Amino acid sequence: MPFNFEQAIRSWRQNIQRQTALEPGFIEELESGLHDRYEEYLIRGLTPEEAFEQAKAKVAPDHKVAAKEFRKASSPASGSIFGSFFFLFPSYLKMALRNLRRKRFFNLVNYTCLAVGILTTTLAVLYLQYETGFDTMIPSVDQKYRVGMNLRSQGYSMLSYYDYFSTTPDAQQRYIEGFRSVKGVEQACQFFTFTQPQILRTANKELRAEDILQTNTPEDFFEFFGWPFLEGSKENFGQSRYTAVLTQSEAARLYGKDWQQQNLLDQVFKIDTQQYAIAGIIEDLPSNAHYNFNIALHVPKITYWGARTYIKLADGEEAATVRKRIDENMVNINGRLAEDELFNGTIIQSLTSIHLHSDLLYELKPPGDRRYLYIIGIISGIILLLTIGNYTNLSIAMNASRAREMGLRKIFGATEGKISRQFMLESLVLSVLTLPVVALGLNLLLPWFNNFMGTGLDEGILTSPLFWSLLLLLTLSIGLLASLYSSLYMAQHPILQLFRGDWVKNTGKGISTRKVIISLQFVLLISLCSLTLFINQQLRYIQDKDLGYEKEQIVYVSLSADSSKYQTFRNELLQIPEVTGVGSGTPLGSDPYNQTTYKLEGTDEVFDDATNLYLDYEAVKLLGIKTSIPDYIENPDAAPRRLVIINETLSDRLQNRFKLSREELIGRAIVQEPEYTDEETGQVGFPFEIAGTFEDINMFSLREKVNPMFLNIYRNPRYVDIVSVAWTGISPSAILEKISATYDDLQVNQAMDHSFLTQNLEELYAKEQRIARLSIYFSAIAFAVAVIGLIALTTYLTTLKRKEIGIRQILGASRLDILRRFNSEYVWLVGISLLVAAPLTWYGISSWLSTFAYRIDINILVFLIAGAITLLITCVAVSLIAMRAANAIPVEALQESQ
Amino acid sequence: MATKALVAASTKPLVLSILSYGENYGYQIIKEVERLSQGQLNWTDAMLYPVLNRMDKEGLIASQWVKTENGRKRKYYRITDLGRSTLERERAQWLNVNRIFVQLWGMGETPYQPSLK
Repeated sequence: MPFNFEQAIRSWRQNIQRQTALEPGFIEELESGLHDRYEEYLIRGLTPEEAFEQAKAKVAPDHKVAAKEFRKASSPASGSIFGSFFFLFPSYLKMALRNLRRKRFFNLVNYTCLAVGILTTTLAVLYLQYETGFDTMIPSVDQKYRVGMNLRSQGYSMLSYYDYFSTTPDAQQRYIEGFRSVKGVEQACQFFTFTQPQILRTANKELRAEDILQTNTPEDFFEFFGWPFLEGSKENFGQSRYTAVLTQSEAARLYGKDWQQQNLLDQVFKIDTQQYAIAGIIEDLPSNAHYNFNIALHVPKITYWGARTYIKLADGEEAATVRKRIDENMVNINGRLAEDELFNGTIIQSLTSIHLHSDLLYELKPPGDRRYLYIIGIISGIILLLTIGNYTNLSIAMNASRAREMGLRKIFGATEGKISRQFMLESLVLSVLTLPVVALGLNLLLPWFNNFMGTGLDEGILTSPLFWSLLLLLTLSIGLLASLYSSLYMAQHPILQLFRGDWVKNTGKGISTRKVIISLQFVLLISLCSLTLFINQQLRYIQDKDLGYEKEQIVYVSLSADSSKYQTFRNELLQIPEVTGVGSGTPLGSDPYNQTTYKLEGTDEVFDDATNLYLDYEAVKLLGIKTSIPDYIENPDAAPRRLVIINETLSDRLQNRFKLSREELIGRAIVQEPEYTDEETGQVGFPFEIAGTFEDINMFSLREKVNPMFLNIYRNPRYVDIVSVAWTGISPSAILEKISATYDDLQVNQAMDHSFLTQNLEELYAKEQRIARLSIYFSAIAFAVAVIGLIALTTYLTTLKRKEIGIRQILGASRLDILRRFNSEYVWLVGISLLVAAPLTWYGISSWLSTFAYRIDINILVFLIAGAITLLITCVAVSLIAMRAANAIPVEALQESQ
Repeated sequence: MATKALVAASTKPLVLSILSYGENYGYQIIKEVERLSQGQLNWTDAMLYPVLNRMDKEGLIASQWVKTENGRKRKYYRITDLGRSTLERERAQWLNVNRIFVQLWGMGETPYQPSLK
């Protein structure tokens, strides 16, 4: 067929017009140039087809480039993106607001999702900032360290004194002077905090006081930590002994809210028999300091076996070098410790690392856990991604009907950039409009969140302009991210496609971005769902696991009294009809404490991992610990005054190690702390005879494996710290009331402190419980957000396929067929998502579970359940929408013109 | 081949210079530039027409559609007074730059001597 030039040039012109909007004069001029070149190439001897092809390439190699050049040359503004954006901003804004008003349902859904996404992200950011900001308020914190010690195979967060409790005031001062004299140490201070309540007497009141701090380095203490004084000063506090500094809350509690009018610096109070003069009032300690106190006392001697010791290094000193010097100087600081063969050197911790990185014994506050920060970060990230994914899908859905508007705008010269900017602005306007809801939400949620997570996020932050600026920035970033894909996607369509409305083809078969986004949402949902299921399974396992002793209806009461007081108290308690047993000894359900060294007599191998547990016969009985000496437990009067039995773990170890039968082991002697030799008697360590065994008990958290244990059982203790009371038949508060009345009659001169065993055990898993509950809340939010997104998306797809549904119905398809067709796509997507989500979650959950010595097995069924839940919710949502479309009259759908 | 920046900077003075010899149309301007640059400057129509359009709007040149003998339409451009004065300024600037290069590269009558530090 001969080449038809007219035909070729017409189709070339149509192609250019279809793709971009160019001024007719410009196309005409290009056409004129094309003519000239075509003629030139013909003269050069090319065939008409070749001549046309070459001329075409020379005139406008790419229509997009031609359009860009044309716009660049004819742009009224300076040509910069920002220039034209600001020029058109009022128009963009007007259109954005108009569109927001027009599609109320979709916009409301988007608005809600965005608000939820921004709110959860803000909360997560505030939480992460809080947790990582521990102790950063302390001046020159980078130079400040806490000194602990390695003893046996355990790390301690404090150091012991030379003579433990009996260390004299002077020796305690020499100890701290020893630190000060180490090269590179600029400052040192020591203190200890007592959480046990004390009775405090002011001139006209008698109150319980908790969290009392003792220090004999008063000025250095306040200089070191920099807690700001509201009244008085650190010099006042340091000037004379037996002075006190109160926090403002404590001052208000003790002296009333008008304490500022009472001139407290003239006042005194008494704890026990000692009088203290108030030397200052300080601001309350921030909740993200690694310790807390309500009252600081300046005392000559800290009444404890050791102290919390802190040092400030001189500028430029390396912590590791100073630690080495301290170890070398330990002979001068604490000679006994230096010579102790179990002492393995000091531990130097920077203050800012204590909260998240310390795993030492006797921590001042329960340490944070980095893993939980990751979990919170990941969950809020998932919600944010779901929000963004939703917005993307929803805005494509919402703007599907704006194809002609975009087409017209393109005809009038709007570039892809301008159209995307319009969509982005709409998203930004919507996200900024969420700010009032976010503010309200934060206002309501922060107190709840603080209470729930045990944090102290500053509620005053809501009045900080810096916070609002950052929130605005965050909101805008989320708005921008959310609109990124949809705006670029919608802006890139050629004009003709926009007018024909056939861009919906992109939602057909094959891999589309929409499907990728939905699959990603499914992956996140399945992961979150299975994560929640696993966490809850593990926590249920913890709650239900047999710990080896009774945990219900047992309460511990602090007594700190001699045996006669204890016997009186015990007898009185046993008079209460509901009390079934009273005993004394170590409370169960605590954090791990120090272990001891031991060896089987006649052998050389020394172990260092046994825990001592002290209980009287009554306590063993009321706890229901199963022993090999039940007769003694039932009848303590016939039992020895003191005996030691070992747990099965230790028994098994010794039997296996030394090839002994159980019978052979019973009656053998164990030497505790064999490294000590009594200088007078030559006795090595503290030997005892194994009187029997007891079944393993989990006295610490299930994170800890059951270690070898010595259960020291005794009769008629000389001094009792903690009394355990078992009861039945009445509520915890009722029994407490009765115990309290008996306690008051005793006149032990201290406030009664109590804790229920179940409460102790719950506190061991407080963090896990919080995370479990939080993950349930967050999962619910994530599901809600995702389902809303799916409903909106299905609505969109169904709208596009109304004609298809109509034709199918006319051709005899049943509603079930239509539902199956709509749902089948999601079944595949959920299946694929499950394959992606399962290994990711497996990895995450197994690393979390590995922190528990006792844990559940990861069951694949949980992933399938999570997948099934996701699929079920999806199918219900999709089917509801598809049913609506299927219920419509088919002819009406077919009559609609596009 | 000239760099993108040089093409962008030189297009306007080149168009003005060519039009200073008389009115002309796009295709012919491109050919003239190709010939004078010995094929070093290859302008496309899609690049030139927007520039001509812009210069027209700025009043540097004026344009009119003319019907040729074979019935085709062609847009002719001519330089305006404003265009001429602009060309004078452009010319002075380009010559100045040219003179510097000639000296620096030792192509002038007096060879370049660096001044003492």
